[in-house]
Amino acid sequence: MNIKGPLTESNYYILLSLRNPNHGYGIIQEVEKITKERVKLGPGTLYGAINSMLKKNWIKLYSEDKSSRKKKEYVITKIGIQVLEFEIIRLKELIKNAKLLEDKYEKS
Amino acid sequence: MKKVRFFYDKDKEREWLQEMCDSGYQFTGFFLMFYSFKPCEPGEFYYEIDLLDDYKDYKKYKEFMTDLNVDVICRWYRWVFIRKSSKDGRFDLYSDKESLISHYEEIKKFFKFAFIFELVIAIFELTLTLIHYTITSLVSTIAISMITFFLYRIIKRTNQKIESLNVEVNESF
Repeated sequence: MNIKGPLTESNYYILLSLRNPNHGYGIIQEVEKITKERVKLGPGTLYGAINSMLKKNWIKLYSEDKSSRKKKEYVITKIGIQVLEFEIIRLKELIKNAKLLEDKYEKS
Repeated sequence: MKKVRFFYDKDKEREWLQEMCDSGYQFTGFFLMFYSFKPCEPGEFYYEIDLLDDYKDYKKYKEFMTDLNVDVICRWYRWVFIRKSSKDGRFDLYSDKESLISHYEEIKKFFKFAFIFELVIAIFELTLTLIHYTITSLVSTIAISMITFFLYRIIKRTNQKIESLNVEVNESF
């Protein structure tokens, strides 16, 4: 698995929103919803992220119905879930260590 | 309406297309240095210019963007002109620093390739002129050298953009 350091915020949220099958527009809406409109994915950012994650097998094509012009749907893979879990462990460590600052101010 | 312009900076080009739209002319097509326009409501669209990894991805790119309510106007080799209705609010093609930096890195790579290609031809033409001088070979040497110099400037400018973005990432506090 090739993970080089932390995921970008966009990639983290795109992966997270693909825990259920979703299409491009759905991903943008989902990320906007769960971040209370703080993260608004740009079309170019999403296009690049989806293609690179497809290449790395972090996500896969879930459905594509060519006859009815239905939108392409993507879903996270087992590798993608692993990547996300590693990242969540790292993020939890960051939060846990943030207590060091809280402790310092509690003492003084 | 047709207008002739020459741009080597896609951000300047985008700004110009936006100004045209804001004054009531929507961009509809591109060929060589010719830009086509037709009337529209002033400020009806927001324009963007993107660079594909591969021009063969155009169909896939177009489908993807259409699903996101982005109109893909046309393609010129690997460059694509896109727009979005201004009613949908702001149009930020790249929403984070990381993807914006890789966009400019891709642009840099694109021009670097062209630069090396032109440089080889320029040196070849110069050698030819030195061996056997003709006015035609001198003129073409000068022309190709100028193109090479232009390409060098685009690469330098793109580098500056990447650098300033990197500074913003590291020193935003």
